[in-house]
Amino acid sequence: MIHVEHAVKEFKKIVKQPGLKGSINALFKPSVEIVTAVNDVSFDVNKGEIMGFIGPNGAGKSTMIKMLTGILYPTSGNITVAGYNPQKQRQQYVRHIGVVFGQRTQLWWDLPLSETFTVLKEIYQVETKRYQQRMGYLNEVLDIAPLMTSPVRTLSLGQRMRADLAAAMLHQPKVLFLDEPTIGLDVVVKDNIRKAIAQMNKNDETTIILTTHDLADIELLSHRIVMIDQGKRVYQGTLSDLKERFGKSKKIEFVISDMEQPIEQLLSQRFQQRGVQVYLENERGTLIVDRSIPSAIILKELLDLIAVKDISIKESDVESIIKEIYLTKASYE
Amino acid sequence: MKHFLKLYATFIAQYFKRLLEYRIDFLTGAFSFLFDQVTSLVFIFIIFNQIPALSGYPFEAIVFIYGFSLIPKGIDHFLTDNLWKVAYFMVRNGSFDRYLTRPIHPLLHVIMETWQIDALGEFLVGMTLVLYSSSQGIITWMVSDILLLPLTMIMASLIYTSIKMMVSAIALWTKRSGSILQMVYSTNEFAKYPIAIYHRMIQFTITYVIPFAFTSYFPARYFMTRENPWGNIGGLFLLAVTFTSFGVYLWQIGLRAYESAGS
Amino acid sequence: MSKIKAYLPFAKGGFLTAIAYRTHILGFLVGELLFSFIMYYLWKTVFANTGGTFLGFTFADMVVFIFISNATRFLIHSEATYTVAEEIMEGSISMRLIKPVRLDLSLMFTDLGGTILTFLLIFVPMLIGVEIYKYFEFGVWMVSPIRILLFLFSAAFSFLVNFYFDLCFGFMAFFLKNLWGFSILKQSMVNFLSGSMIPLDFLPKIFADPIKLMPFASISYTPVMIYMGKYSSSAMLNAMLLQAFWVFVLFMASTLIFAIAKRFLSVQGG
Repeated sequence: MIHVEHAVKEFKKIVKQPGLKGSINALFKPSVEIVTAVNDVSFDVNKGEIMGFIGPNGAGKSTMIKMLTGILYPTSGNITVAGYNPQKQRQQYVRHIGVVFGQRTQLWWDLPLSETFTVLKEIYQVETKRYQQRMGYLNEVLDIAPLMTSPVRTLSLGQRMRADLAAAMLHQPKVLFLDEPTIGLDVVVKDNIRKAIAQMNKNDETTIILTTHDLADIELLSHRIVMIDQGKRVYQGTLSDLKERFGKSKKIEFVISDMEQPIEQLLSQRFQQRGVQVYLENERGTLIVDRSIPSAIILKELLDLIAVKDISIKESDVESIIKEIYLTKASYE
Repeated sequence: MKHFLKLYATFIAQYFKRLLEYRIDFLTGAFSFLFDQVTSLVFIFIIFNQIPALSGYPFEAIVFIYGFSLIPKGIDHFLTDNLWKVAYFMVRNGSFDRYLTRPIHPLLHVIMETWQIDALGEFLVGMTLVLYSSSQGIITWMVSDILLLPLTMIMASLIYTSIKMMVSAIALWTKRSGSILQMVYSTNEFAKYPIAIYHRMIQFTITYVIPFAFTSYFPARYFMTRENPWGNIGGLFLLAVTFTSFGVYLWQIGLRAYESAGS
Repeated sequence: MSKIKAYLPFAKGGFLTAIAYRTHILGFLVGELLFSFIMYYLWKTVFANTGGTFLGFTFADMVVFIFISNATRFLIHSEATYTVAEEIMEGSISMRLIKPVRLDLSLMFTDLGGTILTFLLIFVPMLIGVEIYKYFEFGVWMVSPIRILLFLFSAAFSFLVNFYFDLCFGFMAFFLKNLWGFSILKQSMVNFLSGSMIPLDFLPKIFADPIKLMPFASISYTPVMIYMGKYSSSAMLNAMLLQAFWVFVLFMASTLIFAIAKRFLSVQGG
């Protein structure tokens, strides 16, 4: 359904130095820098699949979504979605997709929610009979009927997200793009939204692309993930694969009480050659250790080496695996 | 085409619903533009209280040109006001993205989405002045004017719209072009008076560079004197068509370069 | 003194914002200059028709009037209406209210920061330009430092009158949504009634006299007439006292409107 080959997106960015002097300099001679937001990313998504996009802030997730939805032109590379080139055939293409940007709404702000659907009906040329059928279905899944008469600006964030999802699904798109659909929502609402997404994926066989920071979204929804960091793809595969391959390690976190010692040197001398990875950030340290090495041994060695205030051992869950990948900035493919 | 008309009607229906929601605000808006025009008229009136004619134009002719300039300005303001928002903030804050996920051309979508009722102030003052001044014997209407006058107004409005299109398109590259648009647009103020009063450089600029003189002075002079139809009216038509095509073209390539907001 | 210090960062912020929004200021400048030039050419044609004087003004008077009025508009320019309106709409006004500073002073210092930039880059060159024009027109330098100082003193009052008037307008955003139309109305009212478009003396006396007493005249007409030397000492004193009076009245009015608006805000729950 989606085919992405060597997609690259570069932006020009004007760099401003801080402060008064910087502002005055920028007045006369702004310096331009090229930022590569997406750097040679390839992947495929099958029909009916839910694919999760993860990565830290600024990794290039949104840029990728914007290229997939036809908003941005890739600097190079090929993108095909549902048989279309999103940029060259944009107008025909967007009839077949739905887009929800979690931080922004496509609903008409000042008017009752029902008005948004009236307009979307015309924009996507949905026939009246079909429209009623869809609205019935969307109400079943997202419970939007009670919201219809309220002006959009009075809806809560959760209600608005339900309405936005319904608005994106009105014309029964083949592909649905969700950019952080659960951002800022409370746990119960998040759960409802996830259920609705899963249901729409199942009923309509909608292919769904999802970006998120909430890994629970990924665990509960997506069949496969693509992880990007600094514009590069660092992992592609199923979640269970990821767990199996990288869940072999555990994490020992500790807080150093005496910063006077040459901690970094001591730790790396002792641990590095045994395959234990060491990360330090001020007084906080992390050791990533293979599960086969008994924790007791590592703990003893650690406590002998340096003075430690607090210590904890964590088995790998998805979050820690991902954190590890972000931290090491290495490709794990 | 039928689909477009239906869609436009839906958008406008929405607009009127919003209008009813904020009645007082819309009335203030229209009244403001009316008041703005009236103060300028008082100004002209004070001048003509002291002198009989300006650069050979009597009071009625000045009022005719002034009123004439307001009609296309008002029409454009009424129909395509959303272009200002593109130039000032839609691209910058990322709300422009929405138009690109819809199966309609973004330029058309932006323009169709709303009207601007404030423009009625300009339009009504313009109509009143043209009707009043032309009844004072400065114009002999001809049958063909029934067709020519509205067509001239449409073409003159297109000059405004095309300039707004061109400059708002710049925002697709630079994220913001509101200030430039403000600068370019404000030169239309020159078009309210006979251009003969200005320095040659200014005359040249508003005739050939930012051709606002074709939205009022030239066509108005044609209707008053019937002189030089090819230059006065033909020039307008030619410029309106060329500028509009170029405006659409700039949008077309601007959309390609569009970089959205943030990452 | 230490109190003023708390507001200096606002002035610096305003100055930096003005630099960052330089194209915006440039747009404003071009628009205003354009208007001045239209006026210049119109009056040039008018004076050519009247043979030298028009209601007691010579053409040279008129040129000085047009450009000094314009320069004054830059000096007193305030963003208060927009800032307040925008913050009210976004709801970020509450962020301003929780800081231990006065709302009006923080806004005023932000404006002053921008004014420093426009003073140096726009006002001073325009003033020099006008003085040079006068030199060529009359053949002698007519620079009068005392008059310029008196002008600046009166312009400071103008700034305050305009600022508090703007603030009153900005608070209207608590009650209205379309502040854009409203601010156009305000601007054309100020332009016309402040006598920066045409000298108020050109209006029929029956209108001119009451308008001169309104706060608008205090915004631009008074300092410009002082610069042009159209006032006797006693008339100047009266005009400045009137300015001070309006600063006080508008200050009180803005405080009152804000008090009402705050109650309105809590009712709306916004």
